[in-house]
Parts: sequence; structure tokens; C-alpha cells
Amino acid sequence: MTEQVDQAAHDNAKHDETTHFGYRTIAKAEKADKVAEVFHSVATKYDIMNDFMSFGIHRIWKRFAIDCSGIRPGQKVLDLAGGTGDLTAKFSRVVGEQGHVVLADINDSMLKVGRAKLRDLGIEGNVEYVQANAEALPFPDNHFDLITIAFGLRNVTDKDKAIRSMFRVLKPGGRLLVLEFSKTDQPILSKLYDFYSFNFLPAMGKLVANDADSYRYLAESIRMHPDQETLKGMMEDAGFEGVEYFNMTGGIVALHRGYKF
Amino acid sequence: MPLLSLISAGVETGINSLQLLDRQGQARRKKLAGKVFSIELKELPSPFYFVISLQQVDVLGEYEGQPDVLVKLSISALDELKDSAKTTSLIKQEKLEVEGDIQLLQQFAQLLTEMDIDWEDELSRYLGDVFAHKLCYGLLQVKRLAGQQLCRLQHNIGEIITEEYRLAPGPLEVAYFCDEVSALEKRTHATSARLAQLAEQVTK
Repeated sequence: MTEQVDQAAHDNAKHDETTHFGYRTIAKAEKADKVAEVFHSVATKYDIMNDFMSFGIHRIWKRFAIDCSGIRPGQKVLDLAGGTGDLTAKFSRVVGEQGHVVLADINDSMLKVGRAKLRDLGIEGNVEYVQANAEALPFPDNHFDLITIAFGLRNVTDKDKAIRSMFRVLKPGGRLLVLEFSKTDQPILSKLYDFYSFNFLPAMGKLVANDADSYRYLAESIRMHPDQETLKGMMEDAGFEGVEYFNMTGGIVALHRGYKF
Repeated sequence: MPLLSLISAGVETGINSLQLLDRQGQARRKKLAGKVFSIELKELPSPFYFVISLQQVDVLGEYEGQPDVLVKLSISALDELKDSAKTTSLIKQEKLEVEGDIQLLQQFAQLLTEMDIDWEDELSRYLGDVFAHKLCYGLLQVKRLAGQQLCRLQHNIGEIITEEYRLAPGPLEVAYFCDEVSALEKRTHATSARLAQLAEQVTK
């Protein structure tokens, strides 16, 4: 009996120390480095691959997220895991000179690409670039009116900790938007999507970015990410209220929105 | 797929593609930078919000702030907006509802409709100077000829209606009718004045 309890305790401890990296189980300490490797590898081709893989539909998903943001001139925005700055560009123009946008990403290669791209677009003055871990955000409490994390949460090692960290830095009345791949409940679409993800995505990655593994990880990490209801529950557990989600493209992508009151 | 996001993406891409070609675009946007316009087309279910910045025009499907100008109009009235003289008549005809500064609205309409684009110069980048010039010259000739043909067609149709089938009066008949109406109006006024005078005498 004692042996069984010890074994269970050992399994729990092991579970606490491990996490998913695609379909593989790895030590939590390793995940950040492995994700960093992926994004260092794809940073320069990130935008073109997004257009290529999603047939440009990612722009519509992001646009819908911006429409749901309620952003106004003068507000403070944190674009977390902001990568190459698609959302930051628009937020910067909408909040204007009195507003402030922080483009944060854990990966410095992505930040460099984002900074160069935004400068080329003429966006500067109200944008700040910060290399930050979503699990331990280096900002004061109650600081931002809006936090967005688009296609970034599934790469975070401890998602609950990250959501709690976002809750901390969000102002009362502020909102969190999580745009992420999710689960489709349409069987035919699901089969087509799986076939596309595991056959075409790595091949496209090899062809365009000369990196099939990173895009295999992308497909696997999407499957390991919590579904719509689970993520909603995680946001509510962290303290968010009025949490709702909007499925897009049959649930392949979902936008979760929650408020801090 | 959020349909309104798709529409706003199309509108935004179209506007900014043209703005990039407009030699006066940035100067015009500078005047309106930071302004937000809510445009509700009667043919669409919800308004679009146009946020102007130095870099471009952003089109949002939702906006929770207070726009500088709110406009409700139909698509057919869009082109007439740039003419400031027509604004009042559009409002009177209930084709246009405006809340906010009308001058700002006219500047916004000018930003979208009075673009200074040198198409020949733009085409020459892809086709070469000679071919671009010939193409633009050819298109101008086609436009001129089409205009002439349209005028001739209108004239011919007018003659068929008034002279051959006599479905409507000709211009001389209309002028004669108008003169007769004017003369009748004068006589009516004179009679009315005379009657008023007589009525006054009777009451005395």
C-alpha cells in the first residue's frame, strides 16, 4: 500500500515537472528553449508562411480580434507573443500619440523581425519592444487597458501561470483577448484539417522555410492545446469575468475574451 | 468567418492601395490624423469606422470610442459628398444624416475621392514608358469617343421619343408650355389682386 502511494506521488511529481512539446513529453525546463529554437528558425519567413499556410485567412482572424478589442485613442496595450507585430501595427495607429503599445515576445529573433517591419511601416513613437516571458510579465499591476496574445499561448510552458500574470498587469475594466488555434466539432472539416496539417504543413515548411520539423511541431502543438471550454475555464480560474469565445473557420481558431472587473 | 471583417479588410486594402499611389495622400491624411469617422451605409447592417493616421486609413468593424463624425447615408450619395454645395440638399432630401463637423466630413470625402494618381507613371513601371503612354493615350481616346457616342445616343433617343413616337413633348413645346403657365400665373395674380380690391370696397 505504502509502495503504491509512493509510486502515485512519484508519478504526480513527474507530471508536474513535465510538459508537452508537440506530441512529445519533455521536462518543463526544456520547453522554452525548444520553442525558442523553433521560432529562431522560422522568424524571417514567419509572415510569408502565415499567409501561405492559412491562405491569408489569418489576417481576417486578427482583424476580428481587433474589432473585439474595444481599443480607443490614449489607451495602453500589451501585444503579448506579438511576433512580427501584425496586431501592434494597427493598435499603434488606433491609440495614437497619446496611447502606448508594448510589443512583447520571449523570442528576440521574432522581436527583431517585428521591430524592423514596424519601422518600415513608419510605426514608431508609441511602440515599445520588450523581451518578456508571459509567465512572469515585467510590468506593474493594473497597467494595461488591453492585453492580446495571438497564436502564442499554446507555446507557453505554464499556461495557467501566464494567464494569472496577464490578469495581474491588466487594469480593472481591461480585457484579455486570446486568439488561438482550437478544436473544430465538424467531423469532415476535422479530418480535412488533420490531413492538411500533418501532410501539407511540414512539406510547405520544408519548401519555403527549409524547416519541416518546426511546422510539424506547429501541427502537434495545436492538437495539444486546450479546447474552447477548457481555455474558458482556465481564464475564469485566473479571475477573468464575462469570459466568452467566438469560433472562426469552423472552430479551427477561437477568440476568447475575458474582462477584469 | 466574420463577414464584416472580410468586408472591412477589402475596403481597407482598396483604400490604402489607392492612397499609396496618391501623390497628395500623406498631406491629406496629415490634416485628418487621429480623427475617427463612423460611416453607416443604409445598405449594410452595421457601420464601419475609419481611423485616419499618417501611415494609412484603418477600417474597423467595431469601435467603442466616440467618433469625431457620424454619418448615415446610402451608397448612391457617396460620390456627391465631396461637393460641399450638395451637402445641404442631401441632408434636406434625407439622403444624408450627419453628427459632427461637416467640414471634417468633406475633407474625408476628398481624401477618398480626389486622389491625384498618375496612372501613366504607375503603369510605366510595369510596361515601360512607351507602351504605358500609348495605352493611356488609347484609353483617353476610347473615353472621349465613348462620351461622344453617348451624347449622340442620348440625342437620338430624345428625338425618337419626342419627334417620331411623340411620347414626350419637344423642347420648343415645353418652352411654349412654360411661357403659357407663366402668363397664366401673372393673370391669376392680377385677378386675385383685383378680387381682393373689390372685396375691400364691398366690406367698406
